Amino acid sequence: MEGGTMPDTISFDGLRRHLTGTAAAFRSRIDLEPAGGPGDKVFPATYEGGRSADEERVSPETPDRRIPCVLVDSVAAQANRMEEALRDAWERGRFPLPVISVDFAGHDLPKPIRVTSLDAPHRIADAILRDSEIDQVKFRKTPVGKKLDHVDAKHATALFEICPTALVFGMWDSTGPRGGLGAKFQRALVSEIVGWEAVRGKRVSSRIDPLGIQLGAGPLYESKHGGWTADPEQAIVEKKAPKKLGKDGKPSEANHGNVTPTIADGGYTIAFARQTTVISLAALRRLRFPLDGASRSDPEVDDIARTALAALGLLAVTLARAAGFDLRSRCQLHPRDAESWQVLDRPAGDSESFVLDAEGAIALWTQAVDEAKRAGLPFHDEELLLTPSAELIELVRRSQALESQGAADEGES
Amino acid sequence: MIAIAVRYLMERAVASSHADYSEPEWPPHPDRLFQALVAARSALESPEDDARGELEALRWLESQAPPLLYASDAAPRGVVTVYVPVNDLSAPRVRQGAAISRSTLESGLALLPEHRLRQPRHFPASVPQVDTVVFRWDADPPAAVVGALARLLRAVTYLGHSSSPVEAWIDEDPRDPNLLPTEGVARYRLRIPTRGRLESLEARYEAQLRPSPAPAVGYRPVEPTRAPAPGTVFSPFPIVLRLSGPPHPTLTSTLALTTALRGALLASGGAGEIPEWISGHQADGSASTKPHLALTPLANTSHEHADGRVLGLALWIPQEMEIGPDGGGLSRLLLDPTTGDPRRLRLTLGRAGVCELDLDEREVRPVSLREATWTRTARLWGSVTPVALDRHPKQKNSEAEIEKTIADSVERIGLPRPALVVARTVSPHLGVPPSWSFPRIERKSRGCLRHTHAVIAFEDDVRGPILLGAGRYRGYGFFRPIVRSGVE
Repeated sequence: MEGGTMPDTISFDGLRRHLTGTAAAFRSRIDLEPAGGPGDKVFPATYEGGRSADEERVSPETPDRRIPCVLVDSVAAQANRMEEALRDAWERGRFPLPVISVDFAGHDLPKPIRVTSLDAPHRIADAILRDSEIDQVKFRKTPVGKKLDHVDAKHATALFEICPTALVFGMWDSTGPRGGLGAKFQRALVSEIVGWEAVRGKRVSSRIDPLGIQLGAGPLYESKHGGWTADPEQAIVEKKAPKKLGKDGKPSEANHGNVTPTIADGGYTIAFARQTTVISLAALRRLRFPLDGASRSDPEVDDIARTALAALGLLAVTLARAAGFDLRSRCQLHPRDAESWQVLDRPAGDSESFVLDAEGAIALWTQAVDEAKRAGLPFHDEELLLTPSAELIELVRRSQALESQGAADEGES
Repeated sequence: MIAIAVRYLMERAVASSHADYSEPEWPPHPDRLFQALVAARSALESPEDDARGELEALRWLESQAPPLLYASDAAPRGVVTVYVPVNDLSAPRVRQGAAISRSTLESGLALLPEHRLRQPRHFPASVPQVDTVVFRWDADPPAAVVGALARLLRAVTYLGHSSSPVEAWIDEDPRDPNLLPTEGVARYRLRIPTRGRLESLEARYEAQLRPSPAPAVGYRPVEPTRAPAPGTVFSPFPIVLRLSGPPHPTLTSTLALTTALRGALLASGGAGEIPEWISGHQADGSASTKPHLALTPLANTSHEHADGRVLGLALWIPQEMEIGPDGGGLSRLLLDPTTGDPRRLRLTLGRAGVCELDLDEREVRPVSLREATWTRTARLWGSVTPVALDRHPKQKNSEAEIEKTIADSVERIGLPRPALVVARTVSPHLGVPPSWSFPRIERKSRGCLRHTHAVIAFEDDVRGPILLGAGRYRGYGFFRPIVRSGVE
């Protein structure tokens, strides 16, 4: 940020002005440093084969130089983190938000779990919600669930009512009654973290066995009494021979013995990382919210709903940032500078900007919810609880029981 | 003229190539922009008048010739296979108390987020050096079309995947295009909208079909216009004479050859007057002060089996000479006045014998006899004959002073001052003898001129021929470009 006056925070009216104006998007960029300081190693997102997504970028200050970069946190991972931050703050009652939960509590499970529309992989369209029930009626057949069958960009009211985050992070109802042609909402919030000046490092992994067990000390066999034994007399007999442990009875199968050191690619050193976040106002402007079954929507109502969604997006980003950038094992980042949002409005220019902290974002969203209700938009304040199907409960119970046993049995009840 | 600018707000474009979904598409195809405009129109739902205007605008756009593009280079993001969670599962039926197989257990648990099955997907992306691309049509649209397009562009959300949001607008002052439509084989093939595209896209959307592929047009990059490389006071169009022996002189015979050639030229002039620029002498017999005809050997050097043999001689004409039909007087020396055929020149090289020179008018010649070998643009040059120093260095063995003298002589033939001069006994070109094996030029006043081989490096390319130093009209100080490996 150049010198001059500090940008102000933004009010609901200010936000609304942008939604009804010509600005294409809000964009915020933060530079981050590895926890250990610049030049420290970070472990970015890895994909199949342990590879990371490399790329080259160019900085306006050095236009002739291609700078090696690496993707540290992807669009999907960033969205998940933001939804998680929303869930955490909502669970502590900091603001209202329509949430649908599948709750496994009260079914005698050793470890009760709860999956919400904020953490299901496909959000409200997820299979786990589809399979769950309200009063023994499958979710999509309930009055609430049925509303999802006919949502689209021009009739988004039902989603605003029961899952507004789907309108911010995107959703594709690919397994509903319309199959692949089901409701598809493009994301209005995109965020990514890229590491700059990335140099790949090497990591050594090995295991030196404190007991010094040699390879030749085997073979080991599966014991009749559970576990392993070196005595073939004590082994389970399979196909008229003592059954070897694992594939060929090597001590490593019982977690003993040395593991040959391998050198795998390990992490990257980066000079800094940059998180770029865009909230597309153009995408929000595509949404319409007819009320009470009307065929057309009221432009004023649309404006308020879109403004509320923008506030929700800002809330998600701000809460996630406030929670810190502890992305994964050995990938912790700290912001270098203060965050601000730029209003992108070409051809005029990108001159306007504003700041927003967690408290401000919560206040903005809360006010937006009030305005929305006042305009007649439906909003489901209460958490909507679904019961998991009987099959799923049984499966989870069995699985948790097996886990604690620590062995993989076949067909024992 | 109307130009549409598109800015990638995340500074990368996530879009798949039509040819291969795992490859990124760059630059963005014009049809992709058109599809985004069509999508924007259906999202806008404008009032009737505006809607009609938008329809007209899209019809206008699709009937135009393919646009010119500005798009910077882009580096691809390393394509990775991402495993995304599937959504088409359901819990299998399980009876209370009944045994469950391992596979049933796994497929049921797969519903839970942490156990969810994943399918591989690719998200190919390109990172352009400049985040904005421009599409430009040279035709002038009616004002209503411009207004409607501006409205549609404001409603465009992304180009490609939804993770590459864009901003699009009418650009009043667009950058110059760097990609032009072209016929025939082209670097890029980009899909473009054509007449009827709007109807086709809408019809297929109604029928719930994917868009049909649009026709593609070739695009080629525009060569960046650069200022021509500076040249010397000598024209890059020499007259090349082929030498047929035996004998086959080597480079050390340069002075003998050029002296003999000049003598032969003057002798063939017969009774008529020889112009100053050819003889190198003024009317009163003193040396000419202006650039005049220079003669150099063209020798077989630089490549792996170079033997340094002289294959021919070149006549270099000063740029400022306006050569008329009589070749500035050169023609009657080189051509037979009666037949007009090239003369055969005989050079007597003392005890070495006589060799003959013919005008080389062949289409295909050895590399060393091609003009381009000596007159191409290059940054690095190495001497083929040693540079005779105009002035004696004050300090004995002062390399710095010698190098400065050479740098001065570079400027004297009209070139920019070189960034670096390195004077050595040995030439960088294979086949060239060391400087001490070349006879020195004798000065009329006293002693001989010192000479040395040299390597010269310029900041930017310059164009030959490069002839330097006191012996430049007689073949000394003649340079050849040092060509980096892999390029000739």
